[in-house]
Amino acid sequence: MALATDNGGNEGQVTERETLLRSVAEALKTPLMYIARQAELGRTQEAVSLDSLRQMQTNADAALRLVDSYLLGLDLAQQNLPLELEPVSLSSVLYDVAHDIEPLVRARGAHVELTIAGKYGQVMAHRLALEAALACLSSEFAAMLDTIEQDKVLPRLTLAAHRSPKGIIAGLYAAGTSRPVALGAAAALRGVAAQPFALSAHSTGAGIFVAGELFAAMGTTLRDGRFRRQHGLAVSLQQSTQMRLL
Amino acid sequence: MSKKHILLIEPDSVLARIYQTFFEQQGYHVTHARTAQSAITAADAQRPDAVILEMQLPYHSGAAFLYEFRSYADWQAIPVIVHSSLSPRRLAQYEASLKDLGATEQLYKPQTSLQQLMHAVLRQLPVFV
Repeated sequence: MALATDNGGNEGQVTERETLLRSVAEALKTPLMYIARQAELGRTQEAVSLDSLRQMQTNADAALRLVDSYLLGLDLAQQNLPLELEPVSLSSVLYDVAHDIEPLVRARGAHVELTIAGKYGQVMAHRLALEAALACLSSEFAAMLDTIEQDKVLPRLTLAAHRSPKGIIAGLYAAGTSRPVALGAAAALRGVAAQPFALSAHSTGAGIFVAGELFAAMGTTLRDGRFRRQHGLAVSLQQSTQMRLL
Repeated sequence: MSKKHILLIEPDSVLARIYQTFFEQQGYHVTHARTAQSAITAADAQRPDAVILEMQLPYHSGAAFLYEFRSYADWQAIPVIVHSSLSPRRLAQYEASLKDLGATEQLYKPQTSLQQLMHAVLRQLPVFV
C-alpha cells in the first residue's frame, strides 16, 4: 500500500487517511446503489424514462466528483500538486457549484439558493480545491435534505458568501433544521460510528471530511456556521489585495 | 381483493422512490416513511401487511422503531424485513436483538437487487390484486 510508505513512520497519519479512505469507499455505495436499482427498475418497464437516465447520470457524476475530490486532497497533502493560492472569484465558484449540484438537490424535491451578500473582490484560494470542497459539501447537504420535514418549511440548500471581520465567509446552509451538522461531534465519531452525522442517516459524511481536508490544504478550517437563521458549514477566506495595487 | 400494503421505512428519498415504484408495479400498495416516528404514525393510519425497514434512520434507529412497533399487540405478527445499508459486520451485532424483536429477514441493501427484495416479501405474503 502506497500510504504505508509515505508517512515517515507517523502511524497516526496513516490511520487518519485510511479512515478517510474507508469513509469515501462507504459513501460511494450510495450513488452506485441508485444507479444499479434505477437500471434494474428500468429493465422492468417498457421504456426507460428520460428522468431515470438523467438521475443515473446525476448520481454517477456525484460519485465521480467525490472520488476526484478525495484524490485532489491526497495530491495536495502529498505535495504532488503545488498548492499555490491565487485570486479567485468566489461568486463565480459558487455559481458553478450551484449549477452542478442543482440536479441532486432537485431530485429530493428541494432547490438551491445562491446568495452573495455585499460586494467584494476576489479571495485567495486554490480554485480547483475550493470548487471540489464546496461541491462535496453540497452533495452531503443534498442528502441531508431528506431528513428535513417538508411540511414545515420549503427545503432548500443555500450557498452563500458574506463579509465578516475574519474575512469572506463562504458556506452551505440548510433551512428547516437546527444544526444539521455538528462538526465537532461528527469528527469525533468518524471511523467509529456508521452515521457520524445524525441527520445524514444514509451517509458516512465522507464529502464533509474530504472538503475539510481540501480546506485545510488551503490553510483554512471548516466550521459550523450560521447565515440568516440557517445552520450549516462555512470557511473563512482571505480577500485578495492584488486589485488594490493596480 | 384488496392489495397488500407494504410500509417502506427508508430515509433516502431517491431509493424510496425506486422501491415504491417497483413494488407498486408488482401490485402492492406502498406507504413510505422516512423516520421511525412517521412510520409509527403511518402504521397507525393504515395497518401494514409487511414492513421493510432500514436500520440507519435519522433521530431514532431502526432498532428503536422495531421495539416500539412490537410493543403494540395488533402489530406483533406483522412481518418485518430488515433491509439495511449497515454493513453485515455491524448488522451481526444486532442479530440476536432483531430476532427477539421478530425481524423475519435481514438483507444487506447494497447487495440486494429489487428482485431479491421482492422474493423476500413474497416469502412473507403473496400479492392479491
